[in-house]
Amino acid sequence: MLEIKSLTCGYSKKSVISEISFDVKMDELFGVIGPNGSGKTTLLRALSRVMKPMSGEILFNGVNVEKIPLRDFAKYTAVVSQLLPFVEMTVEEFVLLGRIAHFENMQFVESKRDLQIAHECMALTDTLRLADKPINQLSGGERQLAQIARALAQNPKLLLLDEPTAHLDITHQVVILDLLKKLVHERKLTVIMVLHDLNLASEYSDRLALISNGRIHKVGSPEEVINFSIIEEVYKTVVVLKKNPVSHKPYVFIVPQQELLKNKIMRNQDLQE
Amino acid sequence: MKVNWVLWLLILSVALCLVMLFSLSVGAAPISFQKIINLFFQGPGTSDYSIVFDIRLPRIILGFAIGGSLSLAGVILQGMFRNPLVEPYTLGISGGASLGVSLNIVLGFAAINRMSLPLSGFLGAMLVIGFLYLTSFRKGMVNLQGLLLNGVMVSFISSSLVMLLLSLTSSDSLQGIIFWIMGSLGESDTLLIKGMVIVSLLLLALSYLFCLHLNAFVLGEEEALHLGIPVERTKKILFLISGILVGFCVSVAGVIGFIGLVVPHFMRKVVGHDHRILLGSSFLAGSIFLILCDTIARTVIAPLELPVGVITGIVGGSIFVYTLTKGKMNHA
Repeated sequence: MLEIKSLTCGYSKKSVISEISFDVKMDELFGVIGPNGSGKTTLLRALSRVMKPMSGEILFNGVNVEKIPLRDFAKYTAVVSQLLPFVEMTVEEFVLLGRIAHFENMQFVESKRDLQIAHECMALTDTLRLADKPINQLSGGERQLAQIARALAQNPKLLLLDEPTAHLDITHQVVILDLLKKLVHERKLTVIMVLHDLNLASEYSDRLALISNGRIHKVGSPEEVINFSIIEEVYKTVVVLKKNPVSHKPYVFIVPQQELLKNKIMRNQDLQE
Repeated sequence: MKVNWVLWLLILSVALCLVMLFSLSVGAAPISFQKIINLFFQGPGTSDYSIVFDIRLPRIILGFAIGGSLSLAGVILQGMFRNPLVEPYTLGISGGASLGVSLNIVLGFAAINRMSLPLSGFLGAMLVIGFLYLTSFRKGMVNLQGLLLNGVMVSFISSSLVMLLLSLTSSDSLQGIIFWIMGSLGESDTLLIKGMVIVSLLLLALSYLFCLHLNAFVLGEEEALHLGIPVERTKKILFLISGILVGFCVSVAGVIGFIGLVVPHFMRKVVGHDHRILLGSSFLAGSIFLILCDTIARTVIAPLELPVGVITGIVGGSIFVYTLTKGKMNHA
């Protein structure tokens, strides 16, 4: 579906990500993790064609994306960016904007089909009840759901999300990620999402790419990537790894420094005794 | 929703016709509606006929084109920059035109051929557009903030240069320059009026090809790109559309302020944020507003007339402040 071949990308000559290569398969939920400033968002901006690669290429079903006109590209690819929308338009108007790429030439008004698709996407994300509300009067979670509804209205094959769960409570985190998982299975949608939260990434991703200093550190299943030595090396933080008792996916526990000291003292006492 | 839009366009069109009729009938010599309709069928010959059709009508038609164009340019620029304070004159295009005209008057070309005035204004405006285009639109990328800052600077520089000319010149030229800068719909050349109408309607039609682009721009440039809008090309075209609109307006009628800032604001409150209705309704509302202001300008102290820019500022500003504060009171 998507092949990324030694992609290097950055701002004015200084590269932020370099030599990134990985493949994403059809109907896969692919997670991108890494520390702050490691280049996750830059990678997503390159994939969504906001930034042009300095070298390397991105192949979409074997075609270099640079060769696809932007409007056609928007028919297969939708993006949910990190910033939540804050505009005065209603949720319905906002979601209908997702249909623009599918408009015929000289079509100015949404067809019945456009409206129907928009309503389906709003129903799927539970935002239909908010249809006539202005976006800027919604809560953060609702705005994120509206944003996902708009992306789905584009009827994409590939969905790119930049921290879709940032600043949301666990209810919305689970609602959104469950929805993505469902879409991947039911609609054969391919999802690439950048996530901060290692545990959410481990729980929901089929495969993960760990980025460190602009380079791929490891690509693989959550079990392969979320490994305590890899995490400690990349994040430079002491962690403990256990399995989620229900899903058996790796779960990362952080260890505060005080506890570390206490542990050391206790161990020393044990040794003395 | 869409029914609403048609309704708004209808209401505004009817209002425009009424305002035009009203403006035809009032003036130094009041002529009743009934009489105007009779004159229409009687044909030329009477003095009333020439007052209505040779003096007042061209002014009204010019007001229609200029008011609509300025307000349209305002909507486009505010949409593109996502900044409600941007107006057609912010980018220094009017400054360039003023400088061109001032130079023309000072050097005495205007005395030789009156038609050189709009021409020099237009040249000044196009020079500024060209300058901004070359400095801000490079490598296929456009930095809108840079464009805005450059425009504001050009505006300052040209107004300073106009001041310089004013301070150096004779009092005759001084008056000419000041009157031109204050703006007037007194242009009587039929060719210019026709040209202005054609340009404004053509560019209105052209801008409609970008109404969805403007809607997407509301979300920001990156989001618009995600929705499949070729952002860089769109920015260039929209800049050129609004630049040419303003260039034409300023060279024909001088600097008539406030319409491009206030009318789009007002219409956004009335018809909403969707550019599919906003473009057309702002054009019509701008026309109505300017024709009304011009009618006031030429009747208050008839047979003398006030500069129309003064009226647009006073009337528009007061109405605007009133609606803003009233809205706030209701919220509180």
